[in-house]
Amino acid sequence: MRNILQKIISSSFSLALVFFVACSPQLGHQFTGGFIANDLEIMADPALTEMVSPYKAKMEAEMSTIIGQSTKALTRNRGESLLGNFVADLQRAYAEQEFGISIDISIINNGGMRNDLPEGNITLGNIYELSPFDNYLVILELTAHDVQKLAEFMAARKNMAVSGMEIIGEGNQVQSFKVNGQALDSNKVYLLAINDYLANGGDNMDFLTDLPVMENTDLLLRDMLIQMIKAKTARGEKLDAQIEGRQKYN
Amino acid sequence: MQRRDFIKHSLLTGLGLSLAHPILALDSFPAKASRLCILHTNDMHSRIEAFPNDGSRNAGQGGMTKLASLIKKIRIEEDNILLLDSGDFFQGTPYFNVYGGELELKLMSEMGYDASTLGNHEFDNGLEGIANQLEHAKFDILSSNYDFSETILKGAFKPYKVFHKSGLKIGVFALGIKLEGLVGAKNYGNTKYLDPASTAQEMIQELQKKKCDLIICLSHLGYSSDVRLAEQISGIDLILGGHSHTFLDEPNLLKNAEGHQTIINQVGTAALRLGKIDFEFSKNQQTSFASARNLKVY
Repeated sequence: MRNILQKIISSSFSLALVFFVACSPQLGHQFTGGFIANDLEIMADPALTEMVSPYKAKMEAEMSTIIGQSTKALTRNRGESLLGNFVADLQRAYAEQEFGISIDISIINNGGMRNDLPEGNITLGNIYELSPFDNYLVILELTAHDVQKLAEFMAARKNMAVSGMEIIGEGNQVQSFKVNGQALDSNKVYLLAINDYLANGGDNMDFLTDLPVMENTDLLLRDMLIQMIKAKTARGEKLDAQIEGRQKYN
Repeated sequence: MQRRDFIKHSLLTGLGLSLAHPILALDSFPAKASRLCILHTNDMHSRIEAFPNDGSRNAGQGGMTKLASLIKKIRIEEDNILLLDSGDFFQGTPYFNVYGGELELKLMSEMGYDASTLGNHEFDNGLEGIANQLEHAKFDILSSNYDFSETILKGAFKPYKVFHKSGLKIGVFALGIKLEGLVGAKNYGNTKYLDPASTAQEMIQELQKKKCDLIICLSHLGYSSDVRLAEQISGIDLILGGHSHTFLDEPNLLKNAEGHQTIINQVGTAALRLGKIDFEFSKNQQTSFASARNLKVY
């Protein structure tokens, strides 16, 4: 048998070509129905668009709900950033409040924050754009050795935002670092607030995957942000962050 | 098996080949051959509309409202269509967060889906989140390897369904991924997970007993697991996959150690592609795999 014919041919042809095949002579006797011209640009179906429209209007109204105010634009950057510091701090405070424990370190990957927050009004939609992924809060237990590895990883990659650590690096190396102003204590168990994506080894953090998990939650980081920002607003506070020298790389 | 014979005689009429071989063994198709068109999606992830036109990678592409146009066009051309989905229609845009999946299921019903299955993200609002939305699905959601008998979803899903299309019997069953470690424990509660391979064996036996001409597995196991399944198990003609968001340029036609051939296809995510797999059946219901294309939705 013609083996070559068993290979399936597919894909990447436009719809127009598909219908061309459908109407080409070699298959013609199997077909009824005429040729459908295709304009290549597939338009949204009017009936479905109409079904969507009331949902869309209501959703857009909800997404434009203002939940807070920011004193300045909170922007992203490699290494330390305004937005990174803001989110890492919020995650730490949220975890402490949720579990009634003291969190030593909180980190979030810069790549997990997908949009900056503007100065002024912060809408629900802003938070969905910042955090579209369904990442969940996880609390890990680290030894001093694990914290050392974390600092080395952050200095090498500069892809994390952190709360609770001050790292000074040279090139891709750690020169010195502290945890909440203290040197590492080899007898201490450090609690790290992080998301499930990183805890499961995302962004090459495979050294985290075997660490003891204190809390594996189904608390969405997006919901956490929304809740904490609303609470700030209720207290009359605005969103703010500073570059404080948490990560200084020369 | 008749069906296995057939695949040996399989005739593919993809564009490149059909141009190269303008007369493709037409005599292998009796005049009364019937044709079946499988259209399929996976991992639509609440992509109701095309991606926003903001210069990002998939700007203006995909989405259910565009997908519907494409399906409507194909419905004019094809008589015997089965429209199938392999799960994770929930979660991914604020439409899901705001409405809990109602709109996704209404639109899929409007497009005329025949069946779908449960992806892991269907559990994102827990078992209640599934139960509350089921009334909006005017199509079957199949599940062969989740045992919901001790949950509020008891009896909600059939393990398989046999579709009758122009005298053809098409058996469809569905395999879901292990939820433990992937979905928060309280979101799946007492759902029991059954081994996909042994479940598949049972489903194949059952569907063969019912004399199905074609056996299709909707899988949310992920592409590499689909390949392993096709290597291990004989009897599935077509695996329509999901979960791994794999954009296959063409389906994988896999022949296992026993000589059984399974076609595996998967079309990425967000309704960016629509899979179209056309089967020809001769009078004695031996199938003949005609062609497959993964159509772009833009």
